[in-house]
Amino acid sequence: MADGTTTIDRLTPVTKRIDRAAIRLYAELTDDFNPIHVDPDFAATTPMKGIIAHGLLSVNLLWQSVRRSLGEAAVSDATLDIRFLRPVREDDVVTAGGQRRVDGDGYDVWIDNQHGETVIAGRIRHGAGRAAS
Amino acid sequence: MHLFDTLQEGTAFGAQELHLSDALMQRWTSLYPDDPPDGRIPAGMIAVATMRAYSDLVVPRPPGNIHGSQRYEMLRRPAVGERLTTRIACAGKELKRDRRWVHFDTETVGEDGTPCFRGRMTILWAA
Repeated sequence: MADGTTTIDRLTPVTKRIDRAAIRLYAELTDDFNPIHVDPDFAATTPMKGIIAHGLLSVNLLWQSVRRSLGEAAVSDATLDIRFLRPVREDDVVTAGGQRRVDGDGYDVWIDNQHGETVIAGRIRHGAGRAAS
Repeated sequence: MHLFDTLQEGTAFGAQELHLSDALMQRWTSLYPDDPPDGRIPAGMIAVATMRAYSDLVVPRPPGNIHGSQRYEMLRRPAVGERLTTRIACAGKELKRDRRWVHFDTETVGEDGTPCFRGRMTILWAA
């Protein structure tokens, strides 16, 4: 594993299936029982037309991707800034990854679903680099 | 009920304690078995502290809120066994294209009061 000062162009992808059991467990971990995540009948009445996963459930895959690629220091001193672009639905398979920015100031990061749609996107910066934000 | 019209910038909702117990860590790793046990919490567990503060302190909320964006500043990864305290406050709200957005700031400190992480979450408010 690389240390936190290593620079590579592309982060190691990390993939996970987001099934109902995972959504339920994440609700218990975060105390977030918003019915849009855990109540199929309620969720069906919303514009989402069904259960969606907690956005942050998938975000741990980004942290894992950064850690695997850049080392422990890269997650212990970092700023992650993300937007949730599309819902992650039950049984979606999501993959987190990232690409070093051309300006060298951190990495553009994303999470895609099994259809190739980006569901979460943003940027991570480390150490002194984030001070400029 | 905290409705968009009644939420006020600057409102503090209090503090929430979280014990990073072995039992909590076991539940986390049952969901994410690839997170390595190194005596400190995986970075993704920031969300456990901050979302519990939001879920338990910003109540009652209208059902159906949706997380729009999130910023996390990780300052240090707390050790397993620590007790964290997270404070949450309303950082503002805005109406854009008929959508109600509410911003919350969180700050989480360890037992000795040193900061562990800070966050800014933006929520699409349902009502």
